[in-house]
Amino acid sequence: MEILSPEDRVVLWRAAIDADGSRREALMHAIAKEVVESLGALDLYEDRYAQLTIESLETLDDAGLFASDSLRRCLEALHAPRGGADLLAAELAGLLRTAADVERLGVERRVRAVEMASQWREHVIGRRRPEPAYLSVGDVAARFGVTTQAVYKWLQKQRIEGTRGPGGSWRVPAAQFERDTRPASTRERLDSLQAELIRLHGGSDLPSEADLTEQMRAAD
Amino acid sequence: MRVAFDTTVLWGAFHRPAGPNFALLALAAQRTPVLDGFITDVVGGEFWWRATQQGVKGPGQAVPRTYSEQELEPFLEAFEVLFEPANMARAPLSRSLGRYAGLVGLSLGEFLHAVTGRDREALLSSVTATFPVTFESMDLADLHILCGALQNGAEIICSSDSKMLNYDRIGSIRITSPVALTDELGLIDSSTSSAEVSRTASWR
Repeated sequence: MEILSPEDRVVLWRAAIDADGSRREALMHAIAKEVVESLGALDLYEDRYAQLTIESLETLDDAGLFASDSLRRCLEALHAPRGGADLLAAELAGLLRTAADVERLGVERRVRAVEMASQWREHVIGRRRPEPAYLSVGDVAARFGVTTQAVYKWLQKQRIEGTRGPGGSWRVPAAQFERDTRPASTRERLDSLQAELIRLHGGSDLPSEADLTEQMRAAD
Repeated sequence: MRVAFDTTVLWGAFHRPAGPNFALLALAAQRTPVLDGFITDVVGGEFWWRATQQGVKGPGQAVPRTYSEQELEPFLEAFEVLFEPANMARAPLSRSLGRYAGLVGLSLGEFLHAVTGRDREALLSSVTATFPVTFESMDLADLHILCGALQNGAEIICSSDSKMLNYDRIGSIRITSPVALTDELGLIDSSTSSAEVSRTASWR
């Protein structure tokens, strides 16, 4: 199958953002097809991933996150030989976690967003790495459950160590994440907690953060 | 970046599990090198007390909602590394010590000496003078947050409390909100156009 150029994928993405109705649907599915093609690099080219991809893009669209610039960057790099598919999978996981905070999606779709984020994350974490001592940006994002944008920022601000390889992609030494030997929570447990708490509070009328702190102060 | 979280952050994470407070606690609990976050024993105790005894009221609700131990358990378990007594930082004073100092018959000067171990000259020296905290500007019930942060080497206090956020900095400690800190760490996706965020998808 012919693969679109990075520029073509961005044009497709922009066109989908601008389109309405059935045209938007068609363009979104074309993007989903591109994504599913790229998953071949992760050995995930199966029907269920096609479904996962479409559902993920639909959720991001409904949450208003489809136009995220970080998603555009990942779509551009989708077929890059070094970790393009990982980068997108990790970004989808990060953005789906953000989508889980969008109340208008409703409780079940927010919980489902967390579940899908976990699935994308597991795909990235579970794959074989040619160089186990080094992680990609997608690996780090998946490991900690953040977007790739966050990891780029950490690298730029030198909050974590990393060097650029010959092709410009980042190589992040894995050892830096093992230095802190204190007990740590697992991302799996935190994902499961997110889903539990969304269910616990879902549908109830919660106070705003400002209200919450005001109530705490008033009770003193 | 060593960060002291106060009770407002725990409450925010508990109520909004996909929001900025949760994201910060999750980074701390996973021991990421970008954020060395902690809570003190007083903050942990305050969270428990408020959740089980005091509760919170949603808009239009007359009775505060409290939470059972079973409802709190998953939260405490997932963040066990922060709540476990062995891992929890210690605050040098409780949240009611400042408030009730008068009840034990001490003058304010004696109280400060007892808490800090410093005499009058030391308290009025430059270190004290660079701390802009006054009894008018800070709720004494929140003094434990500042003391806990100082005692445990925090560079930042993260809080949603508007009174605390009146300060940009207290001495060497920067005061910041959860939203500002998540933005600083790149956890907020600020690249999406506002037009798209408000748009209701109509493609299906």
